[in-house]
Parts: sequence; structure tokens; C-alpha cells
Amino acid sequence: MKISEINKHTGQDILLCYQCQKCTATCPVSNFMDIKPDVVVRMSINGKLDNLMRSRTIWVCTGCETCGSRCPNLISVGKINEFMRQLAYENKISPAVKPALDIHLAFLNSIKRFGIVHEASMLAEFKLRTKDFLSDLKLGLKMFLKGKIPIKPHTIKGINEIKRIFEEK
Amino acid sequence: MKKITYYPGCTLHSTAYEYGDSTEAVLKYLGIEWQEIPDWNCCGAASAKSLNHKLSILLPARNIKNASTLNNDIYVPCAGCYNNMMKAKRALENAEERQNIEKSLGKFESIPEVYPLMRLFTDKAILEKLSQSKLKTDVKVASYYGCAFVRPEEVLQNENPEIPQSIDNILNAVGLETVEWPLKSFCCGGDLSLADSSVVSVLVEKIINYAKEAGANAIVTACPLCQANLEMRQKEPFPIFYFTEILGIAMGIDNEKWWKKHLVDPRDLVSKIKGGK
Ligand code: SF4
Ligand code: SF4
Repeated sequence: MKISEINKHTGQDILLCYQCQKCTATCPVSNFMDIKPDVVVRMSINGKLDNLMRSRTIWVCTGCETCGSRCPNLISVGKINEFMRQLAYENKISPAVKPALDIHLAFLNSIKRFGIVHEASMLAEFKLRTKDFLSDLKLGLKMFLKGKIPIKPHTIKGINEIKRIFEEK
Repeated sequence: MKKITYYPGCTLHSTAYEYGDSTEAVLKYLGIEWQEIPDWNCCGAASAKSLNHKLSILLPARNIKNASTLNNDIYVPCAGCYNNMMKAKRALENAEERQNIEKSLGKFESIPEVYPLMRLFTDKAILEKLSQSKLKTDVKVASYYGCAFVRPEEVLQNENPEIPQSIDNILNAVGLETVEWPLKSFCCGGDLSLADSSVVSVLVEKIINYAKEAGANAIVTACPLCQANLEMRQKEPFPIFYFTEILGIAMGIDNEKWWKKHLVDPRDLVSKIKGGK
């Protein structure tokens, strides 16, 4: 992919990056990334998109945009990560942090079914996808007992329009 | 009487029930009339934008379209919903993108303004009204905005992402002191809370430790995702309030139901905020 295409999708000029590493210094989760934000920009410039699509970084990035608001050249690494995540999903590349993809898929399926999110069935689908039934079990139960997770789903009237939006995407 | 269009999003009727209920109570008290967006849908939260750009625009755009029939400004209590809706609004302001959106959703008659819920209360007349209900307490809190209410700045054009002030101004109006601290808009990692809680616990611990060090007895936020995440992933009990709950206390209309919904019981501090010892 050409640099100009990445620029178009992310609405910025990544060639302005002079590798000052302010993004990495300011990123709240850079400690948990395998490719640090300044290197994400360098690799995008050098066409190493495959490495990026397979990285932990793109799934750990929270999209908090701190990098974007502090970069002296107005580059948001978060926007690059988001674009790479979309590309990785489109190209069916197996995600380095699988539960991150699982939660997104469970969440979107819930919207597609009801038009809004129904937490109980969404969390059940997430658990089935990750096959990890134990973590956060106590927490989920506590939320349920506090009546924060409604049992009955509500479906919006315009659900067919939502289904169409999903098909068109 | 002021009239607004209201987009509660999925959480205010479920996991953030106490935010929804306290918001409605405060609006009633102030005589502000609200109408929910007709037949609204989920905005896609963090998931639509993670996997598909077009979906992340069309879902909130449908809400804007349904809201446009009501002819009032839209106020959004959730940071994530507000952020997504603003991105859709900016897309609609671009002629080419608007055409593409209209191909899917039909013609838009008008595009209403979109504001975060806090903005409603920082209006001068309302701030003055708020300041008629004064708390008498030495409890101090740290106001917490998180990311999505303030960044990206060029899209939201809302308030200064480095030193946001709206929640502080609202709380100060009802006599609650807020501390100065540097992590007001530091990310809590909410979007990762279920996918990788080990990362999130580190961020939450940092936020809570800084708030404590600055002398705060609690954190007050406006975002249901931040609130849930800060309660879920903390180590020692530290109360996390919604700003509307504090307004409710100041107005004397707070409800025991709210406190029971919290994962971290705030009742000891509630009585201190009310002036008890
Ligand atoms: S802060 Fe901006 S210029 Fe500096 S390394 Fe990061 S992207 Fe490049
Ligand atoms: S948007 Fe992503 S890369 Fe940028 S500071 Fe936030 S977490 Fe780090």
C-alpha cells in the first residue's frame, strides 16, 4: 500500500514524522505493545504493514488519541492502529490478542440482532468465543445481582434497517 | 422551558442505571424537558470502528437522522457515544461523505448540534441555578473526563483535552471542591477491560493513586464506561461517582437506589458529602 493511501485513510501526513518518540513517551499502554508507537509510524512509511497487522500493538491501542493531540506534527498513531486493525480483520489475519477481536464480534452480533446491545447474551457469546469461562465470573455475577444486566433483550423497531447497514458495510 | 433531545445509549438503561436515573432526576428538578431519540440504536461503541469504518459512521448517523425530526440539540451522557456521534456528524458535514451516507440511510433534512451532557450544565443560567444548592462539606473529589469526551480535539472541538474544566465548574457551583491533578484525561483503558484486564488494572491503579495523592476522597466522572471500569478494576475500595449523582445530593433529590447499584459502596462518603461527620 502506498503512503498516500495510508494518509488518505487516516487523514494526516505520516511523512512529517521526525521520530521524536513523544507518542511513545505519552502513550498509556506503550509498555504493553510489541511495536512502539513511533515504530508504528516508521513501519507504515516503510510498508511493513504485514508486521503491523500481526502485532499486539494494534489490539492493545485504546484509541485514546493522546499521541495525536501531543505529536508536534499532528500525527495520530491511534488512527494508524485503527486502520491496521480494520485491514487485519478484512484480510482474516489471526489477531495477536484474540479476546479483543472476540469481544468486538460478540458486541457487533448483538447490535445486528437487537439494534442495541443486550449485555447478557453478548457476554455469553464472548465467553463461548474465548472458551474462558472463569475470568470475571464473580464480577459478572455481582453486576447481575445488582440488576445491571437485564435478562430480557429489547429489539428496536428499525431492526431491518440495522441489518441492511450490516450487509452494506 | 428548555427542551433537549437525549441519547442515553445502551448503558444508561442497564450497567449505568444510576447515571441514567440521576440524570433524569436532575433534569426534572431543573425543569429541562427531554425526549429520547426515536427508536435509537447502539452507536457501535469501540467495536464498529475497530473492525469496519463504514459501519462506525452509519450506526451513529442513523441516530442523528432520527433525532433531526425533533429539532432540538442532542445531548449525550456517554463519552464513547458522544465521540462516535461527532465523527458521524463531521462525515455528514462533508458533501461527498454525506452523499454516501444518504445512499444508505436516505435524505437528511437537517443535522442537529451534538453536545456532551456536561455542556448542558455549564450554560451560564443553569450554573447560576445550580449554585443555589450548596453543599457544606470538606470532602474533596477529583474530576475525571477520560479520553473520548475531549479527544480528538479537531473532531470534537469541545474543551481543552489537557486541562478540561466542565465537570470541575459544575461541581464547584454546588460547593464541592475539586483537586488539581494531572490525569483528568488519562486513558482508563475501558475498551480493553474485558479483553485484557491485566493492562487495564495498571492504568486504573495509576489513576486512583494519583487522585488519592492529590487529596481526593473520590473520583467523579461523566462517562459510564470509565465509571464501570474504575470500579471493576480497582484494588482497594475508592468511590467513583457520576457528576449527576453529586448534583442530586446537592439538590436533596438523591436516591438510595443509586448507591445500591454501585460495585463499590459509596454510602459512607455520601453522608459526609451531605455534611455528616
Ligand atoms: S510524536 Fe509524532 S513526530 Fe514524534 S515520533 Fe511520534 S508520530 Fe513521529
Ligand atoms: S491512541 Fe493508541 S497509540 Fe495513541 S496514545 Fe492512545 S493507546 Fe497509545
